[in-house]
Amino acid sequence: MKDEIIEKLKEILSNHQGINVDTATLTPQTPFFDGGLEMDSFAVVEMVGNVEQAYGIEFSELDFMPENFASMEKLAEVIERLRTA
Amino acid sequence: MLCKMMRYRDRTPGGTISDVTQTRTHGGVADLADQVKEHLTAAGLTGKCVVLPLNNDIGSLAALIAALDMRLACALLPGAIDVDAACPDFADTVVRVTVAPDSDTPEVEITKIAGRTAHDVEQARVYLRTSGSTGKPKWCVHHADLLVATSESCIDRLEIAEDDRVMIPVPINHMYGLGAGLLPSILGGAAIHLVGRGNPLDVFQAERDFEPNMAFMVPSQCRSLMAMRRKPRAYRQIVVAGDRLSADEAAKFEGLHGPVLNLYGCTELGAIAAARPSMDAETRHEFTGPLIDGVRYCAPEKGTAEEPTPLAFKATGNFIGYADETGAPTDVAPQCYATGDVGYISEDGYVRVMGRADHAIKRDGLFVHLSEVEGCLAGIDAVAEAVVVTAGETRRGVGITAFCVIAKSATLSEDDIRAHCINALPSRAVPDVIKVVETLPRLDNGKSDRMALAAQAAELAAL
Repeated sequence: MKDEIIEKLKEILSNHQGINVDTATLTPQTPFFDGGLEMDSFAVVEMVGNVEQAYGIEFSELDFMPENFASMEKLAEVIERLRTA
Repeated sequence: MLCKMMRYRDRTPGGTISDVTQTRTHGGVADLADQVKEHLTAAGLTGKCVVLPLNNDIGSLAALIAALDMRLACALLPGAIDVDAACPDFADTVVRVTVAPDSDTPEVEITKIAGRTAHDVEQARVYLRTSGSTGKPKWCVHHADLLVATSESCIDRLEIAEDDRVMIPVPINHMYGLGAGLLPSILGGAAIHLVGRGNPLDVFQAERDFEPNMAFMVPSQCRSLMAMRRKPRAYRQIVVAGDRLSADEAAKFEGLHGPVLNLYGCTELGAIAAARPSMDAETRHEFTGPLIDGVRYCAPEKGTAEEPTPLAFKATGNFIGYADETGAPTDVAPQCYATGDVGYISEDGYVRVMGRADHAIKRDGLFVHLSEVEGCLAGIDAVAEAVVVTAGETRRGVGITAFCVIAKSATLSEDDIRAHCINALPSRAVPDVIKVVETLPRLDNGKSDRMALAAQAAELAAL
């Protein structure tokens, strides 16, 4: 299931308005922030909204930790947990 | 002087300074700064100008305190910047300081820039780059001692006290973070938490780690925070500068976080006006507040809501003038400084800022010049003509809509244009709406009809 979520996240990120994503070089470990996609505040807000809509989930404020949003791999683990909760 | 004061603060409990990796006492940071001073002295930098690339962390703070205490001339840059490209010609030495969380010894990296010879500049000067997004970079020259001294006016106005816990998620190399946030919080003896990236994830984490009761933010951060906030989280107050939240946004933000204090200032003069915590909510949302101590209004007209006037101020403080890349003075600070904004002063002496005097707008707390966005679009080969107008409100600030006419026989989608903008412009300047059109409406004189386009943009923004 995690691999599927990562594929979906790839799709969400590539349609993201605020960042330019090179899907050829994007890996599950590509950092969302420094040294990676360099997301800013708005990119984070947009991504959170798109992910919540795509999976019918709602993150809690406790989920909003930098390490949970470090990469697609990390985020996929959180999504997996929320979907099975 | 700063080190001495910070050690004194250790006599009162609770006053810590932290970043996302470590927590120190005020005196502990002063000890680190003293060690940095020894390195700078040993490197023969006494009396020189150094470049300080600053992150919001303990190491950068120790470097800054050391340079201010030694009365060195220092040019402040963002920590992540390419220093070789951005370093002014008048400095040849870059100082970076890092401190490992488990160490009391700072790592001081002193780098000479190849091919540079430092120019003679006055000591005790702080050089801040103007934050405008176009034109040649200018350096605002401030007197370091007065910069520290005038920070005390902010302590009084914002009522920063020793039992405050101040979160600073705005850059400390900018006047707002430095002169309104960091220095007043240090001098006021508050606990301080420096947050490197100001996105909501880092702010939420800082709230858990540090439990702030006060924060310095820009409106774009407030909007992002509101979008992800799930339940109210009270602060004693949140200071907002850069531009202003609309009255509706401020009311909504206050419902979640407590009082918003608008602060108005600029790189040249520092803090000009700020709300008092005791002001009622309606007044706080509409006005920035009274002038800061030491600042006087000096424009010929006070203006009104119906007829706003260009705003100009005189500060007794620290702004000496501008310098070019060689450190040579280009302009002496005017007696009466026009900020470039229009607004008015109420009968109660409250400042109301209504917008920029030119065609620049503020997004993410920084200027965006519409001509710069148009220039970027016109630079695309397949774009025959482009006009950019403002429309509606977005989380970044005023919305931007771009109308583009594609050259004959060329094909270019709106997504292609957006991708170009993302690569070529700062993210705050990327248009929110890009519309490819067959033709632009024209005035009789042949110029594009911006009013008609603004009306179309307003309709698009309302969709």
